[in-house]
Amino acid sequence: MKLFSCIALCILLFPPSLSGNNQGRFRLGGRVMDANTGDPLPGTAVMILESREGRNTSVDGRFTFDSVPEGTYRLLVRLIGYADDTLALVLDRDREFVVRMAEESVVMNEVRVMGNQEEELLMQSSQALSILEGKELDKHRGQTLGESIEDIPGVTLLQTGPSIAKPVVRGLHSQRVLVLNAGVQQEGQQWGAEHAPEIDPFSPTRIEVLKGPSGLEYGAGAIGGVVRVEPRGFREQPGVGGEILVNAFTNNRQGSGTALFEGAHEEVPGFAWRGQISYRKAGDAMTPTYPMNNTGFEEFDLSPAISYSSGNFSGHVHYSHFNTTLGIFRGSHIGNVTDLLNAIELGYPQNVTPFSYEIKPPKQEISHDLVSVLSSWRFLHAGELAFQFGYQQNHRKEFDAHKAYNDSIAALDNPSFELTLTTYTADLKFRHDPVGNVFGTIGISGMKQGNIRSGNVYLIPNFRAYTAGVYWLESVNLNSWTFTAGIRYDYRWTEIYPFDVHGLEQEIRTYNYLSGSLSAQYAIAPSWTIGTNAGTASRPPWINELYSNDIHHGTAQFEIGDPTLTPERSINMDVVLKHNGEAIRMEFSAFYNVINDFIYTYPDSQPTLTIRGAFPTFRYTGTDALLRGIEGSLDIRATQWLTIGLTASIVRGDNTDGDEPLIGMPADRMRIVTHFDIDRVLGLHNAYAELGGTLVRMQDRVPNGFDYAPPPPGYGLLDIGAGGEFFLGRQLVAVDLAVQNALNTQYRDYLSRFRYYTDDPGINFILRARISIGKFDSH
Amino acid sequence: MKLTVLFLAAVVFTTVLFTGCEEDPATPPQNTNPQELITTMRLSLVDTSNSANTANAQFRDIDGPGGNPPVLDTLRLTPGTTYSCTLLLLDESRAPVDTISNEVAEENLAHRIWFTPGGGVSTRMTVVANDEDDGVPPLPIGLATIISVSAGGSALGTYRAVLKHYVPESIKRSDSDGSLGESDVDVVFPIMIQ
Repeated sequence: MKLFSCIALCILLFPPSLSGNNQGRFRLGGRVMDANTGDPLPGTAVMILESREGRNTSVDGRFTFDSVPEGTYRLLVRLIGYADDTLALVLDRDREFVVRMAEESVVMNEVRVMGNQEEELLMQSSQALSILEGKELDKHRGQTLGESIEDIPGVTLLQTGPSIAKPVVRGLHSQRVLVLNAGVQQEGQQWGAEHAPEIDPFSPTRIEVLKGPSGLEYGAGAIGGVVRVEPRGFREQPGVGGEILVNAFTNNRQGSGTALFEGAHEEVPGFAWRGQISYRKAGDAMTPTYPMNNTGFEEFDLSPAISYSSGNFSGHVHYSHFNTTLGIFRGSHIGNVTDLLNAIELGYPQNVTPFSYEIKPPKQEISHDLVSVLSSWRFLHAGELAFQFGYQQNHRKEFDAHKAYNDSIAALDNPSFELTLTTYTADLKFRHDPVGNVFGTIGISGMKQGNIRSGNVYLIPNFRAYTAGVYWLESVNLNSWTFTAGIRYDYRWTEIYPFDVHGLEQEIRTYNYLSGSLSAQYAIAPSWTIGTNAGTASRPPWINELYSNDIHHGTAQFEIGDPTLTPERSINMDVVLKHNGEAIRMEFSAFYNVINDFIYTYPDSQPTLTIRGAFPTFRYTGTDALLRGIEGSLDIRATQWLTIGLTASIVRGDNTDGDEPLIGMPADRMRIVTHFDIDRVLGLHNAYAELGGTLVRMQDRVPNGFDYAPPPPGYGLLDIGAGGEFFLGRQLVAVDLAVQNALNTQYRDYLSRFRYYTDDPGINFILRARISIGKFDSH
Repeated sequence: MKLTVLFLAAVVFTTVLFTGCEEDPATPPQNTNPQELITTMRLSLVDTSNSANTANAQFRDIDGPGGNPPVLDTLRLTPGTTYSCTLLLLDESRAPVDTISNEVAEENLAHRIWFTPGGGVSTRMTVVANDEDDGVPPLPIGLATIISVSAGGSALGTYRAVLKHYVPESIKRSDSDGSLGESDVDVVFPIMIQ
């Protein structure tokens, strides 16, 4: 009651205004695309007839008129080969349009102008696809990639402390969820549960999460899903602009920031460039009662990129350098099982020192270099050919807490292991123009990879791997139905060179398999679609699953691989229902995924005896598994200023062979957010305030004999956010203030690798500021 | 067209540039990084009243964790005897063999070895430390101990030796039973009194 009268008072004092000032100038922007294929149409002429001001669409079909006076206009859209189109529109606020052009040779379809490009894209995909961009993404920028997508239904996190977070999609993660950065699949020892994606968290302006098997277009690593990280596009308007973001977090006293600049010059038409530099530094994270010692980190990222487009050709080259040092919670590097059990019994870290920024062993030092080259050619009346080339080198060093006793060895400060993974990827894709109502893609992709290890601790041997895949997807539109069928063939060749590794022989292994998928999508009503996807997917066993043979420090287990493992085969089906209405948006999906020969570690009866004690032995083995669940999101725009959002995810994973639950499945969770749009308040415009609650149930479905401690109890967290924009001179500044875990709740998450030793972090006040510099082309 | 070629050239250029810096996984490593492995724990016991009566037991895992299983001896003691015991830790994976226990003795403020007789010998043995660290007041290190075996019949059991490493060192002061700190070595010897 008190809260309500407080809000009522605020509204009376600072009445939210419905639109901008009366003599407004607004942005008129949009995208032009082919009505049938959905492909962007670059080089399309867009002209405001009243003012005769014109633009050409960019390589991704976009156009922007930055500052147009309020009024009524007619927009002419023209491209050779397509029917001219004229749109009538009223400009009383910033507006975005999607213009779909029909080819002249095809029977003219009605050109639909839709208000929201996201809405339009969502309607296209039959799969469960979630997109995070714009203001929603801005609220998370600067946090790790995993943390940014944590609130998407169906996504949870596998965390190793506050600095390492891996996305878990419908219960699957690591080598089963592919991460794409700037079009290149991220190859960085992702099989490791403590190895987070090495991506600058400030770089994405759009993150797409494809839930469910997506192996047809992306290969085996996408058997669980795909997280596509898209950096910013390139500038279209001549000029130079930039953006600076600064974040401050109180919990681990983190300061982070990024500076991005982009430009295009009239003297060099068709060219555009972009450069970004980011830095993050944090100290120990704080639980409600004690610091988690040695959980600080320091990260530096740099990424320049250039693009060129002219006529039917467009291309870009992107380079990124990522470098981080991550402290690993001191109390988690236990000596042996007895130490682990003692730690669990104690319930809190045995040695707590005051907060510090210092990062000492145990720690990880990782550098990741990525080069991505994309070129595409548009052949009128035929289709679009795209060639993507990627090069990456991932260099990972992990330092053990246990220093050598011998002083001269200790002085060398050697990592306990070092892995260098070099990967080349090449993808050729041809998206053909519609033949009647049929449109599709054919593609071929290849990868060459080499790994070199050194150090005392053995995780995976040296190896060389080649993979090649060929796929073909076709879709057909029949009235309100869209049917898609696809097929893919993959071949993988690996050779291991086990230097200094006991019991392994040099050997070659090859795998080949076929995958297929069928989808059907039906538009029940103008804003309702229902889709179903069914298919098979395969994943060959990865190197660690085949050749592991050492103690996994984080889990006090001795893991042994099995070179005779066969590929996993998934037979899956899901149903996705979507509604994009005026006031209500909803997505609901249910999935059923049978995975035969599912690879996981199973406890062996014989422990492995070492000088450090006896460690339970876990062997990689295949079993039959079943994963099923539901996830959903609902957004209700109750009034012009109040939106209520609700998301929920449930996953049930079972080892059907062993007749027990699968280890490490995410617990049921739910999130409620009430969002208030307060257009103008305290001198800020586009202001908002938000109150959110996350509820996580206890994971009570766990197999016996797999774990040292039972799952922790369920918990609830409260978060608050508010923000707005204002002009500093002529530059736009956006500020956000957020409080995470506002009630400073003490809790431990089941998927936190540290839950045996310490609570999860407590309250965190976050301040974010974003300043646009120069004539910034925001899109 | 010219720029299309330029773009493809960028691809080739990158490949050539980076391939040059790449090592071949098939090439055996130089092994420039020496690593340490504690491979051996040796207990040497001497009867305090009769130096000819000795007992020895060794835990040896030359190739480190995994691979070939460790070789573990049974410690055989005579009833009604008091022994002076020396514990040795070695890295036999290197040449010359490195004596780790010397380093433990040097860093005595951060280390302690705890002994626990178990099973059928738990009531038959008492273990008392015979060395001191540099602390004030001094605490045992455990590299030298006095073991008293009571008179009586035969017994079978276990003798556990755990080397604890304390970070920060102050924890050693608070550890009354060996449950704190990190275990660097944890060996359970089968023991026979007869």
